[in-house]
Amino acid sequence: MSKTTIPAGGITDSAVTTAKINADAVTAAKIADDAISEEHIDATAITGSTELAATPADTDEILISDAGTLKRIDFSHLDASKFKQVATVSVTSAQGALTFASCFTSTYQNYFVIFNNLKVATNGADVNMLFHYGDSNGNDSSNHNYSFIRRYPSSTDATNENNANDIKFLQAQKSGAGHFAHGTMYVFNPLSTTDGVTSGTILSQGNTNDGTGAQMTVLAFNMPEAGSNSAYTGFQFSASTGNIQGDITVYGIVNPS
Amino acid sequence: MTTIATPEGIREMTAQEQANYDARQKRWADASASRKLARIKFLRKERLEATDYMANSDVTMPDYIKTWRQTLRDLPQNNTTESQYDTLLEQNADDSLKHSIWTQPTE
Repeated sequence: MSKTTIPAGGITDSAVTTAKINADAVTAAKIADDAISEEHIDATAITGSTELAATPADTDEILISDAGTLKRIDFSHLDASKFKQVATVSVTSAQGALTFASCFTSTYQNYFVIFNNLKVATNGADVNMLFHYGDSNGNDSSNHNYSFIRRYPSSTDATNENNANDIKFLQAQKSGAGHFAHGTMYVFNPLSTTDGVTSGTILSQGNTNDGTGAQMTVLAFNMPEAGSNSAYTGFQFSASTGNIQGDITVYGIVNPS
Repeated sequence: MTTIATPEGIREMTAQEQANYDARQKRWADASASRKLARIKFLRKERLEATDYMANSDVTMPDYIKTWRQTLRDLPQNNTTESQYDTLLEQNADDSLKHSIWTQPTE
């Protein structure tokens, strides 16, 4: 028969078995400070929790031992990546333009763009870039100044363009199966309204349509003041004639600390 | 209406976007002849540069090369219409240029 009273002399050391303690009877107040060590934590503390199936938010917290003292730390302090994806466009059918109205914000000063699998729908079309202002795909920049070196297998073309309608970074592309263009672009200070501060570079490769062969272009642009439209909030890639398809991803570069 | 690809998806162009698109098509069409002439001049430049070394004092430039180079130099003045430009820029199925002027003579 179970005893309901404590015998004279008290309970013998180590005599209380697990079965004698009711489920959930031990409250947080009854656990000594600093008493929960690694041997008392099971892996299910992690595996049994709900999964966060996404990149943590900057303010999500992680537990860390700071020289022996447990502290919480925001994920933002652990994220060492300096390129943050801000926008992407991906289409495998030709469109009038691949465009970003407002990918440039005050969060980042400079941007990195990767473009893959660009293909013009019209054989011989160039691939052009221009900026948008006022968060609108309809507001196009003008007066583009740029310099480029375009290398073909057996020759080089190098020149400057002033006040051009677009920034032409690939010339006379070949359309059709298996002909894609790829490259990268840096955009510096797109929101600046100071003459000449917005600038950038483009490195691209593609296929020329007239048998001249593969082409590689290194291009640098510097945006002039053009009325009130020099704070550029986005950009677009387009074909000089007809449509274009491809993948473009824009990354904000974390500002220097 | 032409469609446009944005981070939010594919949609029809706004009136302003369509106007910009149409202006781009018109600029391309309007510049057709000048673009072809520029292409001819670039192809000419490639070929002249490829044979420039023959003008060195220690090399004798063959007469057939001199004649070819002069023909190349005269291309713009002897070809002034877009139709003539098209003939010069006509391509074979393998994308190579069809017109014989672009092939360096061997004798």
